[in-house]
Parts: sequence; structure tokens; C-alpha cells
Amino acid sequence: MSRPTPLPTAVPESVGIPSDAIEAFLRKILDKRLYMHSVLLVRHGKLICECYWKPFNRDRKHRMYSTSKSFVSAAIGILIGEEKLSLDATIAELFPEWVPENPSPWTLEATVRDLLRMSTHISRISYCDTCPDWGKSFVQYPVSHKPGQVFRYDTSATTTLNILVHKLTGMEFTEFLREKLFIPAGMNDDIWCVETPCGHEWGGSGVQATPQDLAKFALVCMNGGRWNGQQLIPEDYIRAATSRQIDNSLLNTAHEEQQGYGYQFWRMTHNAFATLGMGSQCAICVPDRDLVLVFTGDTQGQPFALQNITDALWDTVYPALSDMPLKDNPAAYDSLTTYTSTRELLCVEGALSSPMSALVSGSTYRMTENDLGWTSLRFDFDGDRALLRYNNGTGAHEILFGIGRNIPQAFTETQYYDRRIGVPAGYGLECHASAAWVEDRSLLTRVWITDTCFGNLKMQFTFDGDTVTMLADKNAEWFLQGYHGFASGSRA
Amino acid sequence: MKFEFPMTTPEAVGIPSAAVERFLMRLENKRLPMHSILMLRRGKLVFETYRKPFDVNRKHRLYSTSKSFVSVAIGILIGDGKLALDDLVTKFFPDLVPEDLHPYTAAATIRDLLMMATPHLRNDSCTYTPQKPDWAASYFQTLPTHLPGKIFSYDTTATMMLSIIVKRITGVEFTEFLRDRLFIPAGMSEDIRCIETPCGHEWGGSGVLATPRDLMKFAYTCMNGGVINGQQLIPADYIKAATSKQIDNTFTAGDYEHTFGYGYQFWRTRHNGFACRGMGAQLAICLPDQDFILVTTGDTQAIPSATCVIYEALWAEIYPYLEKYVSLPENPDACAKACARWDGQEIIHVEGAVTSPMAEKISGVTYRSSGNELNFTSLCVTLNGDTGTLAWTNATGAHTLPFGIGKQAGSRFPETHYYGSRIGTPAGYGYDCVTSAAWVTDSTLHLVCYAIDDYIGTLRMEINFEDNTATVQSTKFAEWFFDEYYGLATLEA
Repeated sequence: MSRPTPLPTAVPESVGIPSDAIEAFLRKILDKRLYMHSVLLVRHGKLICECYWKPFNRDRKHRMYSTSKSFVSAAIGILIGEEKLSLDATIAELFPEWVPENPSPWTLEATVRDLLRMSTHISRISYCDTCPDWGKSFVQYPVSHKPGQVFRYDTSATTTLNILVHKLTGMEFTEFLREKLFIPAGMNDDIWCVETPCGHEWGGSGVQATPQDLAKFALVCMNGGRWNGQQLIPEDYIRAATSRQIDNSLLNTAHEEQQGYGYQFWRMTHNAFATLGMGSQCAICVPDRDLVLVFTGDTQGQPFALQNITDALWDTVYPALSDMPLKDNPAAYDSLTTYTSTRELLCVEGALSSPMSALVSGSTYRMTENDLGWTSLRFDFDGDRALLRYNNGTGAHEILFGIGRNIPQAFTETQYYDRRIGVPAGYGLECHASAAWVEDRSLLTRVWITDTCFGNLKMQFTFDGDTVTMLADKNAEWFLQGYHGFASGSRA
Repeated sequence: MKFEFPMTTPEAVGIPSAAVERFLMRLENKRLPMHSILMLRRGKLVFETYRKPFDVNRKHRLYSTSKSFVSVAIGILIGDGKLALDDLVTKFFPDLVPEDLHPYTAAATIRDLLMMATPHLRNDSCTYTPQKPDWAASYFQTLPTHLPGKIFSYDTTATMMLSIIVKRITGVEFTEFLRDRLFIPAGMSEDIRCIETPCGHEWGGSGVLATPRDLMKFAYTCMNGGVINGQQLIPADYIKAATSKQIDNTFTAGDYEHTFGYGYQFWRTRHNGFACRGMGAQLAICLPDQDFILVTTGDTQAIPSATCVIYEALWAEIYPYLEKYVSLPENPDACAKACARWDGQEIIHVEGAVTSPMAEKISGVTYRSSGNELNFTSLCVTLNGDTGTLAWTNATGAHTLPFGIGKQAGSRFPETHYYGSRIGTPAGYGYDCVTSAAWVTDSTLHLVCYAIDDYIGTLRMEINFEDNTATVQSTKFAEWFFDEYYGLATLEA
């Protein structure tokens, strides 16, 4: 295994950005309580801000969710450059074995280009987590309209494309990209991808890479496909892929996401393009100002996170950009580096103690029949820790919450997917749990799943006399099922 | 004589007109389809603008801002001694309460409903649907999930019940009750009205129709301890409690601006403020410490972040000037410029090219299909300079809709089965609407229709033309109408 080459660093002022504008940007993100894991800023190829919220760090890979799609696009572009594929090739001729009998003409018409720009012939995603063969499901899914006409975001299009990479090269797409892109661009050579039930990589969602890996990928895409003079992605392809190929303003509801779509890349205001992944795994490239912003997080459940972050970018850093180096400002730079080196995963905000904790600690509550399937719960409070024990449909469980801080642990359910969708991990995913009193009688809790997948579970418990009432909800794809709903109970 | 706020300039109350203009520009930059903006400070109206066809006299559906009106009616009844916060809800419905009522439902009080802590889980809908004949009965018939009063969970069912309780106590619907007690003495429109439930009650959770100035007078009365024009119209202690944090609402909030707590049918905001909040950006944001109120109306249902955009614009552009109170020198030019920015303008139209090489090839061509998920059997776009007509046939018949290109065209939407003054009962007429279109690519025409009737909603449609085909993708942002306009279809010439 070769070590990745770190991006060269610089003081922000030396590349024309005031340090205090970057700190203002970061503080705006905090002001919206966005659950960030990293923020990186790169200008003129120099890393000028690298901020991780502990326990996240430079070396830790992060699930990229739909930012993965842009990696698949790069693999397709390289294959086109090698003349192994063309944009106009049809999916039906590439996968003849999957074409159903008496196919619709629209199934036969769909091309690689149609899939790249999310204009397929189907109206919804063709697979689910329990479907055995995702590639086949796409080719055989009932048609609803002519392909290539209208934008309709669909991860099954990307998944079909990355299965196509395997068909043409005999390698899964991250293996294909290893020699072609990852190693020459100084990225980690062990970037990997969560698998589909059929054992292919899940290119639409599964890439695991570091924020610096993503920053390097973004720089290659913004620099015409080149890195250190090497042409890694064909220039004409990556220019087309990051340009507006189709209008996408109809179904999207946020202004920044209505600026058009390329080949698995988004267009944004300020002539920017971006890779966008669920939960804020993003790279925003502003070629006109030679600026790249990369961030990761888990903002699932915060629907306006992308807008908040782009607003902050356009309001703080962007207007402060200078074409010339600025005078050093050591005080501002010190302030910025102090800020970036002291970030921690946010915990639940509220009072750290309540008269209620002594009244309920150690009591077992029997729950009346409820949608959550919980039969009992008990809290034990001890200083800045609260241990929750509960029984639900999958057995007896414990979660240890820090009060005013996060406590790392393995999540108590072991049936969630890990490296392959559809296959239970058999162990508890890594998580961080915190709690605080939002009313004297009411404890709010949060669990952050921070493993090969990301998601969050929130629960609120209100104690009154001998009763407890709880509400649970989750923001997570294909796990934490069942943690949704109300329950009440009484002291046993 | 009817009470009106005195008017003055933004500068007179310490706000630069240029800041007001920047506030408007922030909303424009996010393409928010706003209908009105009003700002009041120290009891004086300092800014007021409407986008055509809305104007100072036109009533606007207030959606959930209606809830705060119901709260005030409840508060007045409490002041009259007709009702107490701790009264059980069941007390007012002896005829509807089943004998085997679940203890959780039986325990719910007026206060629990006011602070949105009912015993039901609101999953996909309230306890009622448009098809249910008796909405109050639905509340008692729906199985509860938990003890009431413990956890905030926003549910319009609560307000619907409160407005029916007003009727049961007073014998009149809540807007009629408020007419003499609030609307007339506060100088509000006497003919403020409310959409009805299928059972003929006013739908207090959503249905109020009033002018933006009515909403401003309402908000001012609430912020001013229940007093307007020297009259105590709402009990001071009630309105103080109603606009204070009664329950934490962090759990359900998707964004930080809505985590500041909930009162009695009022939201809490940053900076010790409170707000009435209705779907589509029907807002009254009150900052008592700064003696400032912002009122907005619009149709931002297609832009879920709109309320946050408005908050952000308020905090970034206006709030910094509210932290102290110093009159600024008058600036008539800046003031006129801010006023002129929206005055006389139409609701924002679709952005794009007015024409395309495709236009003459497709204009007047009829495309047909034998079946698709949108149920369109024919479609024809006719273009004529900067206007056009969309004609189509679906399950309800053959329809036409005129549109402007780079401008709005007013008409009545050609479906007549959407609800009118009562939910569940077809209006029998088409909703008043404005429609615009533009070419967003050489081959794609994008069309947006805003319903601006007693119901507010957005229909968006794109049509891509290629090789004798027209592919339509349609979506809608509206409650209980435009429902048949969601889906995809390819039609052939």
C-alpha cells in the first residue's frame, strides 16, 4: 500500500483569501447547527483550511453517498477515452442478456449518455435493498416514457453504469480507477465501495474515501482531467461532464440544485459544478476563481444544509477572494487554526442536569403496546452519563449517552448492513451518543451512526409523575428501521 | 373610523431603505414567488409592497397562520371565564365521545391541544381526510399512541378541534366570534372568512382568508400585550403565555430556525421573537424587544427552504439596524427605489429564452398517446410571440391554459372539481391562476402555473420535444388539488 500524497498547504492570505472570511464561513455553519465532519478549502491547488470535527480526522475514510456517482462518471469517461465505449452506445446492446422478450422501443433506445445525465426511461428507482440483481432490474424495469428527454434523478442509472465498467474491464470501478486515477492523483490506493446484493460495487452511493481524496478528485475534474501534467480523465469528456447537459429545475426545489446537471455532476450558481452526496458529502468547484470546497457530515434530517453551506460560501469566502496575495494576518490566521483544531461532533444542546434525573434514575417503566415494539425502558443517571436499557422486538439493548458530550460505542443492534447491502453485519455499527434536558421533565437524545454508513437516531423522553412518554425517529437509509413513533409507559 | 397604522419611512425608524431593498433582493435571488412584504416598527408601517395581481385589498389564504387566530379566540374565551386551559377536550363533545374512549384521548386538555401535544401520532395525515364527513368525530375515533401533553408533535387536528370548541361554546364559528371582539375594533377587515370542513365548521387550522394588513394588525395586537388602538382585545396574560415557549420543539425541527420552542399555536424564533407561520410563506414574525414586525405572503410551497431564506434575510439585512433605535436621515431616493422594486411587478415568472428553433416546428402540432402515468391522451402547444396556449386531454376532459412567455397570463385553471368554500365539495369553477413559460433548453419548454384563489398552489410542467415526440414531466406543490398533474408521459405526433 502506498501512502497518499498530502495536498500542499498554504496560509490563506498567500492565495488571496482572508483567514477571517474562512472563520466567518465556519461560524455560519455552526450558527445553523449543521452536523459537519470535515471542511476543506483549496485554492490555486493549495490546501488552506482543513477542519475535522473529532473523532473525524485526515486519515479516516468517509462514506461519500451520491458523490460516488461522479467517480463512476470519471470511470466511464476514461473508458470512452480508451474507445471501449461511446456515449451513444445503448444499454440494450451492452447488456443483451438482460433485455426482456418483446422489449419496449424505449428500453432499446436508452444510451450511456441518457443514464449519465439522469434521463432514463423509468420513473422510479429499479431496485430495493432486498432485490437480488440490481443491474438486471434496471434493464427490465417497466418503461414510463422516452429516454433522454427529461431529468429524473435515479441512482439505478449510476449503478447500471458501474456494472457496465465491470463488464467492459473485468474490474469493479474502484479497482479500475486505482491505477488510472487514484494512485497517479496521490489519492488513497485503498478507496473502496459498498457492494450491491449481487456483489458488484454500488457506484451510486458506496464510495469510501477521505476528504482529501475527494479534494484531489475535484481538482482533477476542475483542471481539465489533469494532475501534475498527467492527463487522467479525457479533457473533452470531463469538460462535458461538468457542464450543463440537461435542465433539472422542474423537480428540484432548492435554487442551487436547479442550475442544470452534467454527466453525474451538478451545476451550481457562480458557474460552479459539484458532486453532491446525501448528508453533505460534497465537493463544490468554482473554476472561475480556482477554488474547491469539500465537506463531509451527517446532515440527514437537515434538509437545508446544502443551501446553508452554499449561502455561507457565497456570503463570506467568495466575495473576499482576491486575485493577488494578501498581506499576512497572523492574528486572524491563529484564530482560524484555533477554531479548526478544536471542533468536535456536535452533541445535544440543553441543560446538563434536571431535578427529574434523581426521580427517575433506576426505575423500570413498563410500556403499553406501541408501534416501536418497546416493552420496557430504564434510565440510570450517573454524573454526565445516562445509561438507557430497553427491550424491543430484537431483544434487550443498552445505549450509553454522554450528557453534554458524545460517548463512542458500538450500536446495540447488529442486523444492519455493512460492506454488502442485504447482508447483516453481525456486529454493532460504530456510533456516538449524547443527551441533554430540553425541559426539566424532558430528555432529548441523539445517536450518530459513524461507520460504513451514516445515520442518526433521535429520541425524546418526557417524565411526568409515574409515567414516561417517548418519541423516536431516524434519518438513515435502510437501517434503524422501527425507531419511529410514540410510546407511553408507567413505573413498574 | 377604521383603525389604520400611521405610515412613515424606514429611515424614520432606523432602517436604511437600501437594507429593505437588499432584503427583497435576497428573496429574489432564491426565486421565491412572494406576494407581499410588510414591515412595521414602533406601530408605524414603514414598508409595504405587493406583487400583481395581489394588492392591499385582496384577501390571501393564510394557511397555518390561521392557527394563531384560533388561539386568540380561545384566549378571549378563557378571559370571559367560558373555558380553562385545564379543561378536558371531552367536556365539549359529549355527543361524540365513545363510551370506551382510550384513557390517553380522555386525558387531553385544551392546553395540550394549544401546545401541539395531542395523543395521536401524525404520520401521513391528520386524524381527518377530505373524504371523512365529521372531522371532530375522527379525533375521537383515531387510536391514540401516547399520553397527551408530553411531547410536541405538530398536528393541525389540534387546531381543528379548538376551532370547533369555540363554536360549541359561543354558538358561532370562530371568525364570527372574533369579528366583534377583535377584527372590527382592531381595524381589520370585517369580512375575514374561513374555508369550511366537510361537516360545515370553519377549518381553523388552515382556512383563514385575510389581507396582509389584517395579519399585521393581528400580529401587532399579539405583540402589544393584546392591546391595539387603546383597547385590550386579548387578555394580556393569555397572549403573553401564548407567545412564550410552552414546549420544546427541537425534536421535529429540520432546521435550526424552528428549534426555539412553541407556545399556544405560535412559534418562537431567535432573538426572543415569536411568529405565526403558514404553508407557502404566510408569515408574521414579531420581535417584541425591537418593536418590529415582518409580514409576508406568497406561494413558496415548491421551495421548502423559503421560510429559512426569509429568516436569513431578516437577520442579515434588517436585524442589525434594529439593535438600537436611532432615526436615520431621510433618503427619498433610496426609499423610492426600495418601493419601486416590487410595486406593480407580477409574481415571478419562469426564466429562460422567449423562443427556440423548436418553437415553429411544434406550435400547433397535436401529440397523442394511448396510455401513460399522467393520463394525458393529447397535448398541443400553440405559440404566438410572447404568449401561448397549452391544450391537453386527460381523464377530466379537454382543457386549455393560456400562458405568457417572460410574463404572466391570468386565467382560470380548467379543472372545476377542486374544493371551493368547503373541503370535500367541488367548487364548480376553475381557480384563479397565473401562468408563465419559457424555453429552458432549445428543446424544453418549462411552464409554471400558480393558483392564486382561496387555495394557493404551484403546478410545474416541462415538455421536451424531439423526433415527433413530446415528453411531459409534471409535478405539483399544492394541498388536495392539482393531484392528477404528477407524472411522466411521452406522446407522439
